[in-house]
Amino acid sequence: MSKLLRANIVRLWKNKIFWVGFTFLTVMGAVQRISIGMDIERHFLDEAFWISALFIGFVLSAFISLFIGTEYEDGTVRNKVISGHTRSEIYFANVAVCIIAGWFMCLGCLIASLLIGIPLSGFFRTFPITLLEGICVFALSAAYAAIYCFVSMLGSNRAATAVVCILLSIFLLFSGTVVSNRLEQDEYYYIPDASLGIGEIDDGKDSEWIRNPDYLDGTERTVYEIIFNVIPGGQSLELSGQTNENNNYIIMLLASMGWIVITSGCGMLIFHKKDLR
Amino acid sequence: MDYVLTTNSLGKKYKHFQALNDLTMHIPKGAIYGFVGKNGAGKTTLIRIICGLQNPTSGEYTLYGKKNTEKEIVKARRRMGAVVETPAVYSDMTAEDNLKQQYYNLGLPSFHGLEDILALVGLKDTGKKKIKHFSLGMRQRLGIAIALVGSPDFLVLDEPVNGLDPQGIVEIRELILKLNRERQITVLISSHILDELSKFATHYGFIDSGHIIKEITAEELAEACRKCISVEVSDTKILAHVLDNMKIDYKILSDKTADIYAKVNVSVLTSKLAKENCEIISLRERDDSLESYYINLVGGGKRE
Repeated sequence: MSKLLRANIVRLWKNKIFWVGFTFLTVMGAVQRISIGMDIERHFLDEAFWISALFIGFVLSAFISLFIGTEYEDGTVRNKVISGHTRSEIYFANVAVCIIAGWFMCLGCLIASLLIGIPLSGFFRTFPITLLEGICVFALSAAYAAIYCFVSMLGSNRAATAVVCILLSIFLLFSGTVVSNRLEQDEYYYIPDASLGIGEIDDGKDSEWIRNPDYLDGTERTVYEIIFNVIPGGQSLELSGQTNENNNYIIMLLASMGWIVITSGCGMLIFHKKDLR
Repeated sequence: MDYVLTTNSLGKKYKHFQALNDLTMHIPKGAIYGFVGKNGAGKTTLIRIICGLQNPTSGEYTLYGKKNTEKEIVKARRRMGAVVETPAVYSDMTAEDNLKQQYYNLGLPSFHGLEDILALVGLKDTGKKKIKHFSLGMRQRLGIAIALVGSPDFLVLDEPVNGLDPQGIVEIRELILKLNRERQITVLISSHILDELSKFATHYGFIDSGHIIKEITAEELAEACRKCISVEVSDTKILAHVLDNMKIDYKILSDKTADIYAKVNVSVLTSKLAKENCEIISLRERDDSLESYYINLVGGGKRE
């Protein structure tokens, strides 16, 4: 597999889409830190530090579908089979290079965030938590890579695969937003006294708090929180600081590893039986 | 005889379409095996299977003594290079980068011989030109160049002269002959251009409806396609007697028909036969090409 991985990395290095994705995330990291650093309020470096988590899914969907799709479009996957590599080696070498590509992109964003963020916002207040979040971001990036690799390795048409992957990235982020909206519901609505005239002060005597029927609690809330931590879209929102739900880093890490194992395992089994043209 | 590849009752079914049906073939070591069949006969399917791109649904094949069911088939496949249908090249890379990718795929320690391979296929001066700007002929040659990386012992070429101009066809033919003679590379080549194939193939396999209907050596084919005169006479016994006296090679086909394998003086033959009370009813010169041999073999579309 090392031979294929080396070949893939050489190809990655010369791939324009990879560098476009790398540049995009690096610029996003820089822009994010500048916009936070220029704010009137005092902000710290920890705040929304891992912005790459929000964009990595989308960027990888485009990059991986085209990078892997080229293998089918140009027929070069045939050279690997004919060269005497097993299907498993080909699959895992592709997953590995896509994970590496994602990590490089995240690294670009991280370096830009540090270089611009430290002079503008100072250093981290809670470095261990930010570090833990960083590990989760890199694991999430690997999970996204494994998911899009699964789709790309099983499809044979580069354009169709690209469309499916990009739509999937939107769906994943959307699913995270949907779960996040349910979790962020207020428990009570405040209904002010309707008889109050203009300029009258609401003393709260005739106003009331009504319980929000959409508010999640008990087991249902726990299930939603777990789902939010498990689905990549939910992790993207949490780790990029877009929401502030019950972050469970252990669940996030395990979920990312689960996505990698499940998609790669299933993908390899299906790819093993796939008729190549 | 040593065989590089043998297939035994190989079958491949795509949903309701039987692409290969009980296909048995033998490719001897050192041969240039011409694989002949019409569109949809199953040539590319067989090539895909032996390249490991697809799995057979029945039967088996043996490559360098390793059966396709054995794990070692992967190692045996390292001894082969192939161009299946269209050349497998990265269109956004240069010819040199494409070859380097194949060097990496094979795990070769250096790019030794890269320039030689490019020179061999006539692509040494392509520089930084991307493959997407290459002509079809250049792509075909690059496909062969990639197949040659790692010095394979067995080269599989699926319609390598498709889309090439006459000059390109001659160059590919000379290249194949050179590889076969100088490097002892066994070649399996499928082609529609049968007369072109007949210029260098040493063995032939004719495929129809996913089944090999005939395997024949070039010598046997030459014998079968020998230039001859087909005659219809009133009595072939008399004809045989006369031709024996004239020391002419012939073959009696029936009571009234025979093939004569020599240039005969028709007037002399007619007068000698007339003396023996034998009439010539018809006489025509026959010159079978590989094409006509193939058409006769597959029955113009309907095989017995």
